[in-house]
Amino acid sequence: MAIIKISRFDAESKKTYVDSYKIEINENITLLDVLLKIKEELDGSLAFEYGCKSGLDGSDGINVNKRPVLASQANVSKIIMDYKSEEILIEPLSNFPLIKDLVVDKSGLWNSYANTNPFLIERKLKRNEKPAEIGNDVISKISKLNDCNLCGLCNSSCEILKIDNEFIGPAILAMSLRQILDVRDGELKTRIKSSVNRGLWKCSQFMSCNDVCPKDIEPSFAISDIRIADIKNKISSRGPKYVNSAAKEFRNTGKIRYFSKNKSPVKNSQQIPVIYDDVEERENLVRKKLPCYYKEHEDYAEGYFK
Amino acid sequence: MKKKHRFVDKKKFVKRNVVENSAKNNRSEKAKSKEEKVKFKEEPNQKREGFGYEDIAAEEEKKIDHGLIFERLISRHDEEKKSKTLKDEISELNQIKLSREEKEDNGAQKENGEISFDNLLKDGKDLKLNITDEEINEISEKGRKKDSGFFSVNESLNAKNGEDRKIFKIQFVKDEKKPFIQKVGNAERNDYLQEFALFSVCSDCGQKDVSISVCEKLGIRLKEFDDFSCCCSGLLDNLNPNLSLVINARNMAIAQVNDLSIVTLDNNCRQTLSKAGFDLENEDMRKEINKTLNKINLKIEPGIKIKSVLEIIMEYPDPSKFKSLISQNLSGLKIAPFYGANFFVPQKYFKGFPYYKPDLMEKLILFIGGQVFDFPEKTNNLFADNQQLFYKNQIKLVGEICKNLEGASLIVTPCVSQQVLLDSLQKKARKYSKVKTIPVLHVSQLVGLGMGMGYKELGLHKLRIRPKKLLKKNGLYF
Repeated sequence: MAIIKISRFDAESKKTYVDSYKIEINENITLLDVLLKIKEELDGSLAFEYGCKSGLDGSDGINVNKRPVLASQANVSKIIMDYKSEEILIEPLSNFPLIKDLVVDKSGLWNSYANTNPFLIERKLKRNEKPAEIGNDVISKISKLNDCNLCGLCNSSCEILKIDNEFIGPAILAMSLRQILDVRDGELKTRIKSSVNRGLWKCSQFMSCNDVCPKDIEPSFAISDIRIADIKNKISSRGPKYVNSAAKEFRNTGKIRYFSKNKSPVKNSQQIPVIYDDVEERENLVRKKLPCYYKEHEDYAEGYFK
Repeated sequence: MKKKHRFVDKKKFVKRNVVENSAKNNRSEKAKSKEEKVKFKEEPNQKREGFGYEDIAAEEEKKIDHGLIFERLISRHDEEKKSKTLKDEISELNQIKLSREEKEDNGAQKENGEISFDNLLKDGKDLKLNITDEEINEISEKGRKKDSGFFSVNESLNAKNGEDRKIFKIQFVKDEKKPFIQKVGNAERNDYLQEFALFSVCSDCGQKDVSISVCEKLGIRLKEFDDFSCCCSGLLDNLNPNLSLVINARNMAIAQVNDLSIVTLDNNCRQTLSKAGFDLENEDMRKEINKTLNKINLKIEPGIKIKSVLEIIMEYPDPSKFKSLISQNLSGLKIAPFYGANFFVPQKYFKGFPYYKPDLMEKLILFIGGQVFDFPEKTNNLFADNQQLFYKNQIKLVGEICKNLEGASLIVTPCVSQQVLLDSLQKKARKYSKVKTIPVLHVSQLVGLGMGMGYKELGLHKLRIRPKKLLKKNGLYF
């Protein structure tokens, strides 16, 4: 037996309420099967979305116990084992406008994806120039990103998206990496600029999107790859300054202090009020000077430590 | 019409250019002479203060043995302790006067003068020295007394009978690679139930000392290492992901030399270190990282455990002893546990950890004798990474966490940076949460409170939101 609680939403009256259903389960039953069973036998008015039933198209995303998953990939008996209770709470994906019950409006995601120009714009070659070759490392990264089906789970797990309207979310930032890595593409700088405007440096690299992604795309690492490109091409100023000054502080002292008063990494920033600041301790740190840096690894950053 | 315009424009353009260029040339000559003067002033050696990293980089280009460089660095680092360093020994060696001879293809060239062993180390060549037997004996004795034995005298070349001075060959010798960190003795270890390597936080403000003293009462030793560096909490991934991997691999290798597992006071450190541990399970990656680690005689192998203080306390083998240590009555306190999502996320880095329904902190609170205040936001996101860039976002995050906290008397976290953020920003976040400010404690401080440690010993007077009134109400202290 499983008690399934579904949060429901009426578009006309704009009210939310919770319905609960009791259902008998097998070992191999998925949540999508349960939802279909409820719709056929218990309540015909329940609305939800699904496509291929095997997790290839990402249309059946829902929140299970406040954690976004694909309904067709979630085994019910395993969920009961993990959470140690027969109650399962099902909610629509967060950070999307609601339409009805579990159905959610993803058109904003798709439109903003279309605005990124997700196709190759070729760079014009000079007369005797040979077309550049793409390395194997880059191809493995791009082919990994190509698996994305815009299911929107990463966007619903992101908590900065909930707060900040200027941040566009991990899904679209990660997908724009494909053209940025591509050597043949001609509009590298405009692409990076637009991703900076979409809130590239607002991501806190919390890795909750990596955890949730059903295809193991790891969007937060993709975002840090775009940041590397930003630093290399010297496009935005604020974020790279922050990273570089933190790296410098690390090289000199062996530590990065987020709560330092005397030397803030960013000039003219609004600082958090400092509670604890020991000057002596800081001086001791400066004396220490740990040998943590190696030249081979600095070469990637192209002299940004100087 | 268009053609005419273009034609005219071009002519004008050419004329202007000629005029401007001639003017420029006149100017540039004057400017050049000025620049040269300025340059001459600036040119004298401007050495940058600080680490002296440039010296090392220059030396590395000459391809000297890397182990030596790091040994010297470490010796420089140990000068404060006033132990006998490599530099002192070299200065002793310099007192011996030697004559120097360098051989070239055409023939022998002799130079008379003093030889300094500093240069000898820098050049990285095998040197042939023209010296007497007695001097050689002195060098070899002093050279071999040192545990590393970094140079030795090999052969005598062109030895002629009856002459005092002979030509000897001095070589650098690589000894067996020894870890440069002192090991903890087994005799010390037996005094304690358990032992861990303490990885303290950069934003530490007294929690380190509290957790050391709390664990000592339980019979757990948290050993500090001066050689640990910051974990960088993923910030340097934005420059180069391999760099942050090397830094964390070095930290973990230091713990591995001593057969200890690492204990952190902060969630961010725990997350980044365990991420590095996950990446180093890959063999190819480990080989690459080990190449750079070998330069400081360290090596990393998979299988290092990384834990937080909370986990240690909850896995403590002798609960009856723990219970006997608790002396203060905390039954009046409603304590809200806040984990922070990076205690669990991403799941693949924390294998075998109770991810779904967290109950570690709740068990601890009940064990000490307090009441649990449950709230749904206890696994929310709160990160100290780019707080200085986006200050307002941080306040909103704190506001969301405190939304449903009406009625709670304390918040407890296992993470130092989360504690500092919650403590300092709660007042400003009141417009989002509309809840009165609540004092925030670290886990170690809560256990210390139960054990009856002093108010200032726990560092509670340093907090911005002070728990003085609350404790007074419950009959604790004052």
